[in-house]
Amino acid sequence: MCETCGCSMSQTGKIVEVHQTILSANNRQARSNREHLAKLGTIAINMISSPGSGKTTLLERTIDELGNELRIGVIEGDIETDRDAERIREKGIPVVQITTGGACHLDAHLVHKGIRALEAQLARPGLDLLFIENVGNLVCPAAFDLGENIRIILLSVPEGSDKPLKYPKAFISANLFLITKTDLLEYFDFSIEEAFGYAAKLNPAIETMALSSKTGQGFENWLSYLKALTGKL
Amino acid sequence: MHELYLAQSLLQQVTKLAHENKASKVLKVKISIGPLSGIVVDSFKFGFDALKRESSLTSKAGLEIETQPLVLYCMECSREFQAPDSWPRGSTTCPGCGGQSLLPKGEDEIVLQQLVME
Repeated sequence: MCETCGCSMSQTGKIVEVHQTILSANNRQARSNREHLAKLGTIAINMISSPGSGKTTLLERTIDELGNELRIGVIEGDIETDRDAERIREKGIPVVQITTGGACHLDAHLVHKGIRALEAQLARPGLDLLFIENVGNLVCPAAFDLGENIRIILLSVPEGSDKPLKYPKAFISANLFLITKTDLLEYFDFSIEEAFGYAAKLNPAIETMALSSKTGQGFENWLSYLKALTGKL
Repeated sequence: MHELYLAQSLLQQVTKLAHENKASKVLKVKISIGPLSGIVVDSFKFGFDALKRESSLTSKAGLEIETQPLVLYCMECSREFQAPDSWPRGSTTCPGCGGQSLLPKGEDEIVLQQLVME
C-alpha cells in the first residue's frame, strides 16, 4: 500500500488481487472425485477419528453384516503399514492401502489414486459404498475435502465425552457423529448425552448414533443408515 | 499440526502466481485465516518463514495475516453476534432473545488475498 495516502498504488512492486483458498487444488480434485463417484452411483464415506477409536473394527462388522447385500470397497489411509488393509482383505472386499509416509491426513489427490487402484480390482465398475478410513487424527483430516458424500466422526467411549469441544472443526464439518465401544460405558465416566450435546452446540444439523462393534448393540440403526444412503432400504 | 503443509501449499501457489506475473521477487503475501480453520497462527507464521527461505523468489516476502472473529447466528431470532471467548465451552445465549440454538458462522479456510511483487 502507498505510504503517503494509503491508496493501493504501490511505489515498489505490483499488487495482484488473488482471493483464492490455498486448498483450491485439493478442492478441485475433490469435486472431480465426487463427480466421478456420482456417475458410478457410489456413496463415499470419509471416516475421521483419533487412532484406536475402532474404525477398522466397525468396518469389519459392517462388511460381515452387509457384504452380501451391498457392494462395498475400502480405502485405508495410514501413515505406515498395511495392517488395516490386510484385516479388510480377509473379508474378501476390494481394498486399497494408502500410506501417507508421515503426512497426518489424506488429501483428494491421494484418494483419487486410491479410487483408481480400487477400480482396477473390480470385475465390473461401481460400488454401493466406498469407505475411506482417514489417518487416525482429529485435527488435520477435517481440513481436507476428499470428494466424499458423507463425513463421519467417530469417538470411542474411553476417549471422553468432551472431545467435541477440543476438536471443534472435525465436528462442525461432519454429517454424522458416531460413538463407538458403548460396551465399555460401565467402566468409564462417559456421558453419551453430554457428548451429543456438545456436538449439537457446534453443529446443530449433525446426526448422532452410538454403537458397539463388539456386542452389536446399536448396530441396526447404523446398518439402516447405510442402506438408506445407498437407497436400498 | 498441518500448518507446515498449509504454509507449503501457500508458497507453491505464490510461486506459481509470481511466475505467471513474471515477477522476480515477492515482497508481501496477504492472507486471511478463517475463525473455523483450526489453524494456529503462530505455527503457520513459523512454517511460512522457514519455507520461504528455500527460494530467492520468496525469501524476502513479508506475511500479513488478517483474522476474522467467529460469529454466531441465532436460529431463533436470526441475530448475528461475535462469539464470546468462552464459546463453545460456556453456556452462551443470544443477547437479543436469549436463544440457545446458535450456529457458528465463518470461513474455515486460509485464503490468499493479495500479493505484492516486483
